[in-house]
Amino acid sequence: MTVTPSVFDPGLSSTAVAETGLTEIDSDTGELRIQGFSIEDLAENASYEEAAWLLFNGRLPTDEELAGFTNELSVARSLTDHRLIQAGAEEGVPAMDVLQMGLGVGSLHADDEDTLMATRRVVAICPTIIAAYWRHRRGVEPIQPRQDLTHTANFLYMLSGVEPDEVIVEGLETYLTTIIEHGLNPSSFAARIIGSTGSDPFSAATGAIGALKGPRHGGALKRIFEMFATVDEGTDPTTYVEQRLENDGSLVGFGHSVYNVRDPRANILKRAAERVFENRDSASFLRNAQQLEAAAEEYLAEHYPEQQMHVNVDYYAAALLHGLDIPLELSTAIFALGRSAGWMAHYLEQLESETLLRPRTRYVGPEERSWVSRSDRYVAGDSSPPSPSALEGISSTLGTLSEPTRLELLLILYESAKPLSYSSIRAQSSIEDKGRFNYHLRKLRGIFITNTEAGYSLTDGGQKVVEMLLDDEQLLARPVE
Amino acid sequence: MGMADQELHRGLEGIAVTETQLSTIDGEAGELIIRGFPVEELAKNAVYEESVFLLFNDRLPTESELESFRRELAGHREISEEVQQVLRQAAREDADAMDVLRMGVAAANLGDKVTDPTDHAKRLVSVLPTIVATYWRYRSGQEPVSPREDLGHAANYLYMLTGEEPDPAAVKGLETYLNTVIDHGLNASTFVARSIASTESDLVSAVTGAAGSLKGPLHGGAPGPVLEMLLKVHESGDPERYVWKKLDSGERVMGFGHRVYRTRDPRAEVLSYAAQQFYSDSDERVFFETVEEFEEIAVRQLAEHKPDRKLETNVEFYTAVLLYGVGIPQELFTTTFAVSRVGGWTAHCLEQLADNKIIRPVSIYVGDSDRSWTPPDERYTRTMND
Repeated sequence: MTVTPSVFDPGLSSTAVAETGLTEIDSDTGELRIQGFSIEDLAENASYEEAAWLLFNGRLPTDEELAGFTNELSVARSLTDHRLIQAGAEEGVPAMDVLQMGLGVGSLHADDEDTLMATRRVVAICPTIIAAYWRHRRGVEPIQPRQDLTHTANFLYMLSGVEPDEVIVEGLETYLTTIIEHGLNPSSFAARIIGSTGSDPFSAATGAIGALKGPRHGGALKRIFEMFATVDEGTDPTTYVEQRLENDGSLVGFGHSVYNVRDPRANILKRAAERVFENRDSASFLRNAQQLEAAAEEYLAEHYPEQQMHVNVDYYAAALLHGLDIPLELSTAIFALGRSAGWMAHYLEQLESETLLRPRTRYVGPEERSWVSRSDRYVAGDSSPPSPSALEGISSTLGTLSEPTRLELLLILYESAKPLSYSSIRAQSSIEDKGRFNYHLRKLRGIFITNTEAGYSLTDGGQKVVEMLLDDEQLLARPVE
Repeated sequence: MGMADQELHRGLEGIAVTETQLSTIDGEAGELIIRGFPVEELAKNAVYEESVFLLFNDRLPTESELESFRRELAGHREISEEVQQVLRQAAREDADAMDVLRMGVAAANLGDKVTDPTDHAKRLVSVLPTIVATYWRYRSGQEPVSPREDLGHAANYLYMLTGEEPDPAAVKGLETYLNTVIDHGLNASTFVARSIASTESDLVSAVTGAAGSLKGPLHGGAPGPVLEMLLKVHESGDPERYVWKKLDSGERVMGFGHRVYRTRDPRAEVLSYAAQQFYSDSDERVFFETVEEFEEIAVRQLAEHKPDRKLETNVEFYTAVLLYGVGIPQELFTTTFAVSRVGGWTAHCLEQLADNKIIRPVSIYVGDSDRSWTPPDERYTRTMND
């Protein structure tokens, strides 16, 4: 009865939904390019503001343009209202939930701004919300943003209240730039669907945050860190890897749904971690992570040589963020902070395409039901059985069975392992008159017998009726009393 | 990536992304089936809570089940002090009602700790009317009215808006509306909700995303302008001329035609009947007479103007008429749609979670492929030399 959509692709895993000029990924060679620049090039050279400008404008900014953009972001940083953030922090709500609330109200106190300005404000306020949350969590006053610091430096400053060390700023900036954009993952897609309706950037950003919150998308950093901590406490890396992989064949931080080779971002973050941990007392933490990787690579190469399981972006991100003294509770929120520019770029790209995303579903629910009045509804286990008048329908349904030739038809279908054609049932039935045969068959159709392209067969109900007539595969000797 | 020669399905039209048991639309026949029931049956017979129960449980509740479901929903209506403050601030800044809904929903978990997805769903269904009504009270310079647990969902919404116990006819009219638009396949907002839920995120996130997308002008469902048009026509007293002038200047007449239905939207039918019932006993009867006259004239003129396409009133048309009648302010039309649709959004999320496959489409890269870094002082753009 319903028009069937042309294609059924659950999860859309093989459907291309948009053209994008943002990110190009080669799964087989492990190359990631953003607006044509290799991720290595960007991570080494670009400031976060520069990478964001590139995403928004499709080319690198001049000195002047970059200074203008940096200023735009820095003046958009402050929040006047901390009530939700404070309430969330005091209730112990996770950082991502508070970031979602904070972005949700992000349009408050902002004078009628245009869409582009609102995308900048989304990027600008993520650090302020996260830092304020963290300060409230620890019962200290939030620190007002400083306009003279860069995006990354200001964030670290708002977290701690002291001007951050150059090495730390650099380490975090590399992280934020490296993860700024990565094609059409579920969070970017959420931003795009919302953008497809022509809605605003704050709505798109809250939707994207919502998707990233899901454990199927974000949230691996915490588990990786816990793994590192276990090794750091003295568990032998090789033993750990063997135990995990022999257990269920999975190892957190390894494998990626997009790459068939090593995730190119892993190397960048590994080098950044090495720089941060250099000459530090805690350097053993990173060494352990590296030993764990080597042990896993060795084990995987030996036991699963055909499987391409390598460290993904989260693996060294967990080590790097630990080296930067970033609280574990903030790790997903900081990923969001980095990715916010990518979300906004996707949002704008979709908005500009002016195409509403409205897919179809395949309906597999009941075809036709009719209304039953409240007092006549009966649910097994419910204390009040319905009135006899409400049972009339079902009683007449059972009535269709009080006819031996119809039971014969049910038994013919029960005997057959596969659906039967009309002529085959007709041949086996003792009813000779065609009209009478059709009449009885029609009476059974729907509830007891179904007719599909393959032929006639028993419904679940029909199956149960026949089973009721049988005792140890024999017909009941006498009528049920 | 091997995607280069892939076909692009911009808009995903004709692509089925999931199976569903919740609702199905037959655009050719003009039918909307919700959990097996034609929408007409639900609209006529159900209270809103009953429709929500049906969506969540795939069957109608018994009397005692309905009673306890209503009580449960009524117990989840309160919002926290902080959310109230945010709504007050938003009203003071004249923020749009849909922005405010997003703000309120995103913070819906404050002060109401629930973790189970089904409890989240109930909480969201319960709390949306409170968010909208609280905002509206502040916006109209009044203190918010606390929800009353003894009132049904629809009645309590009207009560919180006005502070007075509502007229049964208005409750009935609103109830019909809430049942009629509760679910409608996978439109963009429902698709957002399912996509977010597919990452196994929480329902507050999914509904926040859905509310955010409902705001967009392309989503459809903006009955506000339709009401403005009808009031103008009513005032002018000359529907014939209004429609003629619109068509003559090549403009659209609002409230007609739907992208899915080729014939009349079945929901328009239901709402038209509900409006008729409501206005038959109301002081605004004359307005409704204009509306009916306008519909007749517009359908006739549109048929002459575009003989190849059958344009009939869509769901926005009678939504505007009915909601105006029962006393919903025009500024709250879209948020009132959300107050109903949240039942569908949450049911879709629960269905997605029950048999989850992450929704993750692909894209086709069309940008530059190989660029290399240039230092800032060597970057040249034409504007610099102007």
